[in-house]
Amino acid sequence: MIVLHIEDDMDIREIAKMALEMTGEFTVLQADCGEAGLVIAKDASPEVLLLDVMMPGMTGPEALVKLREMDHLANVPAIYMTARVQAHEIESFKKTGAIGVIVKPFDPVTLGQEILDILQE
Amino acid sequence: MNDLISRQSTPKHAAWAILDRISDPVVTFDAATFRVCYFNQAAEKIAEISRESGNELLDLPAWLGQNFDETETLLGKRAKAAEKPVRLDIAHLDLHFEVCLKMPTELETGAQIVGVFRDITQRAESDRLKQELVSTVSHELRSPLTAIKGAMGLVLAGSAGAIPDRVRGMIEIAQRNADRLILIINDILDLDKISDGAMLFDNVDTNLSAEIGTAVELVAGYSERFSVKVEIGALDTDLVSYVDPNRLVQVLVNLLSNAIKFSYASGTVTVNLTRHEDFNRITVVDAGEGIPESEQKLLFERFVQVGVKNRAAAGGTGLGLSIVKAIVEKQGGRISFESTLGLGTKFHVDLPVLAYARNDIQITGSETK
Repeated sequence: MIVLHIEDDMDIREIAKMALEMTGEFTVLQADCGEAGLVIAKDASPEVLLLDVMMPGMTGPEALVKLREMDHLANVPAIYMTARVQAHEIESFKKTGAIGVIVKPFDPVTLGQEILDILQE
Repeated sequence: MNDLISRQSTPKHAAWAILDRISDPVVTFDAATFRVCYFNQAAEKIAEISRESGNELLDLPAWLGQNFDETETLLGKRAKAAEKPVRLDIAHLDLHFEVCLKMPTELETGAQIVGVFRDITQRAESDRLKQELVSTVSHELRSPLTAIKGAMGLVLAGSAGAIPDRVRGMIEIAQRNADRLILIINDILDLDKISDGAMLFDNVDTNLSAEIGTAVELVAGYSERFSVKVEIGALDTDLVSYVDPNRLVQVLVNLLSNAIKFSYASGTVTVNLTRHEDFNRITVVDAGEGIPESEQKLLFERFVQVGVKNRAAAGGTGLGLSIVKAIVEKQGGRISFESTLGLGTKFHVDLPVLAYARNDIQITGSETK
């Protein structure tokens, strides 16, 4: 499964990539900001979008709006990964079209399964 | 002020003159029609009308942005709810008020409701800033913790190759403390929400035995670490309460974790669910050290950890039980305990059997914090 992961924190990007790829089920494409994510997305066919919410420049929800404008990504499931975990924040993230929210800090050992569970729901 | 009063021809005029000198808006409404009867000068400013222009168009529902029935319902509840203030936001003026509505008072002109408006614009702004600060601090702390905990988790999972046992032990200590920091952040966020009255409850009719099962599963790893067995004892599977299932699980996980933590190795923690008086009673029983009598009265205080000599080893924040108590009470329940030194402790969570009045819970959304 190809994942497009957009996250501004370099360390978290590295951990997420390692965590997902060690399961053998994911290929991870990564970008360090929304704008770079859009460039990568143009020529890629991700099957799930994994987006940080708070990023300098384009936020995760703003990036998702732009990604949705690309025909091939209009219906690709999106999941936010965020440390903003108050109930009203999570609800507002879901309203922007994501199917789920993974709360930081996530467990790298179960991250892959968590994504698969959200996709199955 | 005495001069002011003495210049007025009647006590009524004197009272109005005094009210006009008060900086808080004061308005009286007819108890039957909710129409405005009187308002002072401060109220003129927020209503953007003058007394000369007439007040026949103004009524209490319009002030509160409600229809007549909503206001009637609200006032009915106020009569039972110790006249808690109602929040009033005047968006176009960017003003925020608390309105204390005094129940019908017999005045010369008939029964009237007296509304005293308190300007809380500054407080509303500082509340907003505080919420933003808590949210931001939480975010800023969680991001590096994600990296720390993630990196250690990957090393322990063997993704960087095999590691010697001593190194594993050290990383496990670091990971436990990272978990502890996360708990502290979660507790502080919860405590902040409780203090602000902003903790939301998504109450539904909840089968309690199912949620007990979920909580027991969630503490499985923790109980293994302490070599403590968690058992479900007497369980009435039909018992249902109107509570938020996620918050209930949070309560149970907290009580179970405490029971495990204070049990002896190879001990057993038991959870029971029974009917008790007008409540559904969940009891968490441990056979640990028990709580010294001198410390029992502090049990639900914030930042208190009774019977704990080594905070790091205990792994708690001292906030858990105060949060548990607040959550249980917010849902119409109660919490109590029995403890005997050397024999162990029982915590009882009593939740109302009958559906807790939906309105009584949700009205907090329209009241001031």
